[in-house]
Parts: sequence; structure tokens; C-alpha cells
Amino acid sequence: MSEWNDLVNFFRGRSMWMLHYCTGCGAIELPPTMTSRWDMERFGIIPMATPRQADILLITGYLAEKTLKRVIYTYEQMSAPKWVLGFGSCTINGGIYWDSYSVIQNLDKYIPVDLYIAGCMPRPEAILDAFVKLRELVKKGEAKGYEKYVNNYEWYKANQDRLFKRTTPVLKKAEEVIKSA
Amino acid sequence: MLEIQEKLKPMGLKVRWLGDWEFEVSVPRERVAEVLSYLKTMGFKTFIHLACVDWIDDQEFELIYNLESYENALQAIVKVRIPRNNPVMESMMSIWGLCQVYEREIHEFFGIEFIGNPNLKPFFLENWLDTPPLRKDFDTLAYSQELFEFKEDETHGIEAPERIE
Repeated sequence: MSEWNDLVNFFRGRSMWMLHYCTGCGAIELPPTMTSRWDMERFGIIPMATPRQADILLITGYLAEKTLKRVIYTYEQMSAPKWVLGFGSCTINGGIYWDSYSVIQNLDKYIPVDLYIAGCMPRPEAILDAFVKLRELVKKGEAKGYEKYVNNYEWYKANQDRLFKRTTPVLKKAEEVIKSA
Repeated sequence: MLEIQEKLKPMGLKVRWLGDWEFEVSVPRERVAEVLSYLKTMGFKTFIHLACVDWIDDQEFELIYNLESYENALQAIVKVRIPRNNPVMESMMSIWGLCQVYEREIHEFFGIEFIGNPNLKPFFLENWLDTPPLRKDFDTLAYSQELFEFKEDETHGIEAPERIE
């Protein structure tokens, strides 16, 4: 059975379709990566329009709370096996939005990230390097973020609900602040 | 330039020129609708933007209406100050319907009430229950640390930069 898995993983790594979905400023690095100069189709990676047909979800940069909700919908619609690539420092710890009220700080709390690309923003070479690394991980069967998500769903769901289903203000109540002003 | 000044004189408004193509007028709250509709008849037909500034030391909000006249290649800035403890303003939707969207945004980010605007529902923010975020007394750092549970050990050894005041 493991030989069969090795074979499947080999082919999975060679036809990863990425969801054509861009969130932050990192999306600007994708057109040169897709088109003739760097040409990521060499690695079997092409943009795909619908989440159900895609294998990779690129989180290209900062994610506002509002976008995160849509990203989670999208991620859950994708069929396994699926992988998430986090672009740049924003997905790691908020980056330059480290004190922002709307940008989330740690993407890994809400959906499992298989690979981070450092940089603000990463150059196309770094993106291609990440694709190659992801391919290696997939081939070895080590990129198991989607299984992590299913197995630890309660933890991820609790983190997501902390943002989307909160019923009390995070800081002082708005009325109290207005009154004290 | 002189023509405009002549035309604004009967309104009793002081015009301050910021350049060859831009001037600003400060008006009291009760005269905003009057001045804006007068400027509209003068050719400032395009409403560009509504902005807001929180002057927390003066305990005032400043609303800034940007208008443009394509015929005369001129821009007008109309400024009005309203008290911070009672942030209420009349909607300018009867002059430019476009104001609806801008007022909704200002309402969300500064908490200013616009009388006459039928739809001031949440616009950009997701499930917001705190002080409007662009008010100066809102502490974004404390908010983000509290909500996103930022911890030093989760930064892989990288310390958060010093906060610039």
C-alpha cells in the first residue's frame, strides 16, 4: 500500500493546480510567476478558477478578518488533498500590520499552513522555490495540513469562532468610551 | 480665482487658496447644506470625497467635503467641525446621492450619526462591537493583542518593533 501511496504522491506533486484567488499585495508577484518569464506551468502548476478543482491555496499577503472568513469558506470547499502556502511576513505574524485592528496576525491558527515563504513580498524566484519545496513535501507525503485540519477541527473552529462569533467587545464597551470622552 | 471670490462674497465666506486650482472654506454646521448647494450651482457639480478627522485635543470631529468643478478646473474643500461628545450631522444625500456611501463609511469608522441617511449598517468591518476604530482614543495595539492573542514566543524569536508614538 505504501508503494501505491508513493506513486500517487509522485503524481500529485506534479499536477498541483492553484486556486486563482488573491488576498493582499503579494498577488502582484503572481503574474510574472505565471507568465513567460518565470513560467510556473513548467512545474505543472496552473491557475484554476474554482476551489473544487484546485489543490493549492495561496494566501498572498495580509488577511483582514473579513477576508479570512471568505478564505475559510474557500478552503473548506476545496477537496482533499489540499495545501496552503502563506506568502510573506503578514501571514506569519502580521508583518507591518502587527498592531492593526483588522488584520489577523497568525494564519496558522485559523487554517493549517503547509509552507511559508519569507519576504515582504517574496520575489517570483522565492515563489518557484516554494513550489519546488512543496512538491518535495508532497512527494514524501509530509504536507499533511488538510489532515491536521480535520483531526484538530475543534481547535481551529474555536479560534475562528473567537473572531466571527464574539458577542462582547474586545476592549471597553463603546458606550463607556464615548461617555468618558 | 477672483471670479470665485466675488461669487462667494455675498455668502460671507472666507476663502483660503491652497494653490491655483484648490481653495478651502470653513463653515459652521448649520450652514453646510446651504454652502454645498450654492457651490453646486456655481459649477462644483462633482462630489469627490467625504473625509473625517478626529481632533481629540479640541474634542471635535472635522468633516471635509471635497468638490470638483470640471468646467473651471477647480477643487473646493468645505470643512465643518462638530462636537466630539455629540457627533451628529445632517446627511447631504439630498444634494449628492453619492454621499450615502461615504456617510455610511464615516459612521462605521468614527461613529458619527448622519440624520436622514436611511442605511448606516456595518460596511467594511466584520462583527465590530468596540469603539469605532479610527477614533484617536481607540487603542489598536491593545485590541489586536487581545483579539489575536499575539505572543512573543510565537514570533520565532523576532521581537515586535518599538511602537512609534
